[in-house]
Amino acid sequence: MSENVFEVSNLNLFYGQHKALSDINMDIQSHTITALIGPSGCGKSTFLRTLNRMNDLIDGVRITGSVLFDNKDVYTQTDPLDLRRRVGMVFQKPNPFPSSIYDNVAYAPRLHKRISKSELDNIVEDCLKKASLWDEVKDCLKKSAYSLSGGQQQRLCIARTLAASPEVILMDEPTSALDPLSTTRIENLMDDLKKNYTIVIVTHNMQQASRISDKTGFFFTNQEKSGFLVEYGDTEELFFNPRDKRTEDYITGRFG
Amino acid sequence: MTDKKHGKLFNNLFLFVVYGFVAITIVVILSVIIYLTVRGLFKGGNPSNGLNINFEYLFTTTSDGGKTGGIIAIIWNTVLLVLLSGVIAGSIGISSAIYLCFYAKVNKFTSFIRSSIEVLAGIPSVIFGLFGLLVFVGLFKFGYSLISGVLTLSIMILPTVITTSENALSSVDKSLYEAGIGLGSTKMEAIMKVVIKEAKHGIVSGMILSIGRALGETAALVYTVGSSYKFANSLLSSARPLAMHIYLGINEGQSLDKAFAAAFVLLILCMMMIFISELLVKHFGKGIKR
Repeated sequence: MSENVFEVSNLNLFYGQHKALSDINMDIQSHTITALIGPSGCGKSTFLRTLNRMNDLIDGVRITGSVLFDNKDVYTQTDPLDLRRRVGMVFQKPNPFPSSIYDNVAYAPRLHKRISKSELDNIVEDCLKKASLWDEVKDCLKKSAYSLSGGQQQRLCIARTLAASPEVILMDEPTSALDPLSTTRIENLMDDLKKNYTIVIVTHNMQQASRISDKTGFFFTNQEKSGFLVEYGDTEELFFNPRDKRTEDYITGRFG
Repeated sequence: MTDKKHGKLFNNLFLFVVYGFVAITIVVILSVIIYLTVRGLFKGGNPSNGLNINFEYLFTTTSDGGKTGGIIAIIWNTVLLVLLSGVIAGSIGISSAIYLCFYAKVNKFTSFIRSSIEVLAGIPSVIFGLFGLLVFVGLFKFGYSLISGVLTLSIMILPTVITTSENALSSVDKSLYEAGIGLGSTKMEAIMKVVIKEAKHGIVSGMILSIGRALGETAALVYTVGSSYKFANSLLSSARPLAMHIYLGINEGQSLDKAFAAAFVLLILCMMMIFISELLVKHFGKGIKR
């Protein structure tokens, strides 16, 4: 029986006066891949960002309800810096730092503590291997991250996130800016990563969601234009036997 | 004329005008530099009269009210003045830019700050000089001194530093900052280790611009820094810089040759400063090739 890494209860999120998320309830189990699907603008990314408090960066954001990570409330009982180290994030557009490949991966380990060069070398190699990038860059670690292709840059960003030793990896449409070949590589990667990490991925690609995820949540907007969770369950069930008609319509392509 | 021919003619005419203006700009700049060089290096601007600037001129001190002697002390004063105001305006200015970019909330108070900076940027330098005279020289009782000059110059170049630094910081892709935060950095860490690193070229360009203005400043210093041509050895000593030396030299009817010599040295100092800044940026920015 896998434990719950995240327990979200009655989550509402407001941008100023506008309610962006309405009454979300979701448990995310460890060592699973959870996919969040739904049409644009229904709060999937916003919800993802509440899990690692990235919404704190925006002025005027307010939440009610609770998000528990490791049984502690993320907003009242957890240090955001510690949270973000343990819950990493990969963004839609690859965003490596303007430095070398090595320095990108070494960024997180170097934060907050002194670390020996040999230890750092090991971490960098380990993470690049886990991100399936080591063979391609092992002879040119000092080269700029920008010399890599889009797919390679995204794998570098994954390696960079792994270097912080997270428990959870949040991915916000990680392959939407990449070509099909790179997309496949990263999907295979996620399957490997699942053994050691918990993954939550927002995706517009339904085939991707059905291929790789264990659980899927379908988001939609209500009349007040707030995002809410229509249905959440095992991926196979949601895709082949959806309980809600809206889910079925979305999956079969009638809208979205 | 067919439409196609008409279009081509207009295109060529436009190109001609553009190139023409570029040519004028280059000619004007080169003329000034060449004239200054020739007039400064040779007595009376005539190479057959012999060198205006020699080792003695560059490395001895001024004497006899400025009529004789060299300008080493004045060069020293200039460098000191510019460096100190650069440091003060740089630290306050870049910090302010970071505040405006990352910490200031969007409200009336912030708008007021931005408007104030814009107004400050447009104030003529002689008014800063008068301000310096009243406040630093008079009220704070620093007298005509290096510190009065430095403080006046710092206030004068501060708006430029803030504006250029803020532009450089805000043009950095926000996703880089987010990536830093997402990895567990504090706000300050993400700003210093990620954003500033990416923005440093823009920030340095802004500093060069501001320091360049300080290098040639006369009006703000005439009422604040005094006119002693000796080496400034304390913050309270008077410290005439190069631009002012040229001004006073011509004003007091001293040798025109010496004025142009000083002008040429000032030009070289400017170029050296730009060159060194670019070198520093290249050195610290090693390995970041696009």
